[in-house]
Amino acid sequence: MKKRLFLVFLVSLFVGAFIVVQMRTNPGQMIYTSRKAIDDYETMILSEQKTTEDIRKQIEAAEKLLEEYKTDFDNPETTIVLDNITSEHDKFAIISGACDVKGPGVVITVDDGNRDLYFGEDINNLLVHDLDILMIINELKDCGAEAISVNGQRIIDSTAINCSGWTIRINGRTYARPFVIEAIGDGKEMVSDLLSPHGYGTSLREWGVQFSIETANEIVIEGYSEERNFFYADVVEGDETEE
Amino acid sequence: MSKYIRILSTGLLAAFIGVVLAVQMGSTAGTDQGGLVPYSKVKDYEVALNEARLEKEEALKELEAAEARLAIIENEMAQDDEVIEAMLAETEKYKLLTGAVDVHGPGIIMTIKDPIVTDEFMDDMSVITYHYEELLSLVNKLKEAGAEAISINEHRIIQTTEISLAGKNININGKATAPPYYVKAIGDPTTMTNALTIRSGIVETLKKNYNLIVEIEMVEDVAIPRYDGVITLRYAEPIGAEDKE
Repeated sequence: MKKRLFLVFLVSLFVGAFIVVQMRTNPGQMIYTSRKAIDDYETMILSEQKTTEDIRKQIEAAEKLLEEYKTDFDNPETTIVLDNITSEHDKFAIISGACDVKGPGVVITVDDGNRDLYFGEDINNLLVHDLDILMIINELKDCGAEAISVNGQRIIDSTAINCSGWTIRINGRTYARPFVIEAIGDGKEMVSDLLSPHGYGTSLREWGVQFSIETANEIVIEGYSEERNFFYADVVEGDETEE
Repeated sequence: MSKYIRILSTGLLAAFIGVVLAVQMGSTAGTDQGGLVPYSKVKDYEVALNEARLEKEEALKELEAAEARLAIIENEMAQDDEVIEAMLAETEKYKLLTGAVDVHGPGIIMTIKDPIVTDEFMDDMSVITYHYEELLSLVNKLKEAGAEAISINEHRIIQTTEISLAGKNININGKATAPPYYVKAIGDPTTMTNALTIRSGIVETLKKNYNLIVEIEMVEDVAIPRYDGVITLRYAEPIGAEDKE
């Protein structure tokens, strides 16, 4: 009697557990995914919503401007339209890298390390590589740098920086060490970011590369001098976007 | 009779304990970082993401319409003034160079996905997110291969674009992004593809070192959206833009 009871208990235990396991697995078809996939979707949705919000703000600003434009036409003394045309022109001239700019910012000097190598250490630890320059520029942009140059060569949207043997090629021109990076923007923020414990400047120093950064009250950065032509990219015409 | 009731109730009780045990074990695993969630849940998120994207596109169209109205007034002013006309034409050119205009053309679409999760403890952190400098390097290589316009997950790469690690995500243009990453580039498709797939190049690094799933597709026409943020300059001032041009 006791034995039978015990057996029934065991069997039922198994059956109960089995039902749940059965519900959870269904081979051949993906019915479960990682928690991270959901997180990723959430991130993307939030990001798209934030973008939409930003765009809505831009629309509001444009509509406000439109009102001002209309009053500007009635009033010959104001120059809102002209002012806006000029400021837009200057803004895009700076961001596209077409004109010389000046402003406060930082001057960074990066050079190969000159300490002795440890026994068996790779010399590459002490040399400045293209990725180092890229990472520094990236951190500067993260801090809101508005114009950046490396050894006088303006960094524009299509600027590539590549190691080619002993030199680095920037915008198709060759430069050698030391590298002087100039950036216009919030100098204090850029310094504190690069020299923070996780900053790239700190990492470079730990490896033994020479890295120095100073704020400057006025930096002049030259424009990108070469003519830029698009061979592949075409503007999406107005009728395609239904204006 | 009462004997059977006893057996039956014990059986029921045991079955119940079994269920509780299994559920307990399952849900403890679920609260872990690496726990699994039903795939059907993903569908809901997919729908929500698509809705958010559509809404963004609608807003963009509205913005374009508003800008077109502004342009009409500006052009009207330009009719009487050659200086303004020249300035407007230049602004258009600069906008194109900046990346503030939608463009399309031949190019490639590259997909970078995190490795497929095989056990519950592997997916704590996205591999590509952790190695975000590889994305930076990839963009640099695309530029070297002559890409004229690049976007990552529909974020246009412009002069001020940063790719930075912010918590568990990569921020691009100040907006959080998550894998999978779709990198679009306009330029010579063959040159770009071959530059990336060179031996021991970036694609091989991504695949072999990090087990990422990387695909490159050459396409005849790829559309890359304009930069959709606001550009505000607080420090930089132009020098003699007029007499230089």
